[in-house]
Amino acid sequence: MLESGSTEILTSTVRYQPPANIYVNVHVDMTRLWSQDSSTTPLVSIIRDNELQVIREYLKRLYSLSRVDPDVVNDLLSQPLILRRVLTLLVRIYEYMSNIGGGELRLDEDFHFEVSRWVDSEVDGWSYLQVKVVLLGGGVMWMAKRGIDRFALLKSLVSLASQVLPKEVRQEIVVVVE
Amino acid sequence: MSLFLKAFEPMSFYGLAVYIKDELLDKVPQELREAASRTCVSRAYYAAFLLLRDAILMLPIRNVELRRRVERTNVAHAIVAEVIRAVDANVGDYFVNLRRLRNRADYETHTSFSPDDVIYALKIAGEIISNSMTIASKVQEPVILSAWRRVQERRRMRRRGR
Repeated sequence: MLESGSTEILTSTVRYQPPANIYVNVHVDMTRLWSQDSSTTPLVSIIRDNELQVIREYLKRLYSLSRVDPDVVNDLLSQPLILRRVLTLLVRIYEYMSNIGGGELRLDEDFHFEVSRWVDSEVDGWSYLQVKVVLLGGGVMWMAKRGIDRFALLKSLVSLASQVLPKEVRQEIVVVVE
Repeated sequence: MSLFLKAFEPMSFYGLAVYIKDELLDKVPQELREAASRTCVSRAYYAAFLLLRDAILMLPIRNVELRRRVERTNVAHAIVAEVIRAVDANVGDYFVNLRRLRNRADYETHTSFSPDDVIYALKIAGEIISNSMTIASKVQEPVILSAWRRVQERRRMRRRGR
C-alpha cells in the first residue's frame, strides 16, 4: 500500500523485483508536475490514491523492463512526467528490438536495458539521465550476422527517442548503446 | 565580429584517428595496441569537440565570463554538449556517447578497448563532424547562454543531491 509521507524510497537493486512497499517522498514540485498546475493548492486536495497507484504501476513496469539505478528512482518519483516518458521510451525501444529481431532477440538474453545517471568524470556536476541499451553476447553476434553495428543501432534508437519524447523531456535524457 | 585565429585545425585530430585505425593498429607491437586504440578514440572526440567549440568562439559572444568559460575551462565540454543538444538532440546524444568513450579511453584502466570500440567511436565522431556546419549555423549567443545556464542548473541539482 502506498503512503504519502516523507520517508525515503525503499528499493531493491535486484532485477525484476519491484519493491514490496513504496514510500513516496511527496513534495510540492511533484504535485505541480502531476497536475500541471503551478498553484499552491494544498497537497491533500491534489494527490489522490489512484494517482499514487499509477506511479506504482509505472515503477513496476519500469523494473520489469530494465535495471534501474536506485539513485535514479528518487529523481523519477519526484518527476512523474519524466518517469512516464522514460517508460514510454523503453517500451518503444523494446518493441523496436523485438521487430528487428523478428522475435529472435530476447530481453535479458541478447540485450538488456538500464536506466541510470551518466556522470562525467571530469566536469563537476555534468550529468544526464541515461537510457542505456546493452548488447549481450548473443545480441552482438545476431546483429553482426545481419550487418547491423552498434552505430546503426544508436542512430535508430536516438531517432526513436526524438520521435517519442517532447522536446523539453528529450533534452534531459540521453540514449546510450553499449 | 570576434577574431579567433587558429594555428591548428581540429579536423587533423580526426584524420590522425582514422590513420591510426587504418594504418597503425595492425602494425604496432601487440603491447601498444590498446594504447593506440585509446589514443584513436580520444583524438576522435577532441576533433568533434574542438570543431564545435571553435565554431562557438567565432561568434560575437559579448558575455566575457561565458567566453572565458568556453575558451579556457573544462566546463566548455558541458557547454558544447548542451549547445548541440539544444540545436539537434540526436547529434547531442552522439556527442555524449563519444564523450563516454573518450572518458573510458583516457581514464578507465580496468576495461579494454576492442577494435569494434574504435570503429564505433570513429563512426560517431564522423557523424558529429558531418553535422557540425549545420549545427554551427544555428547557434547564436542566446543559445550559448541558455546552454551555460542549463549546465549551471544541472550542477546545482547534483550538489543538492537530485
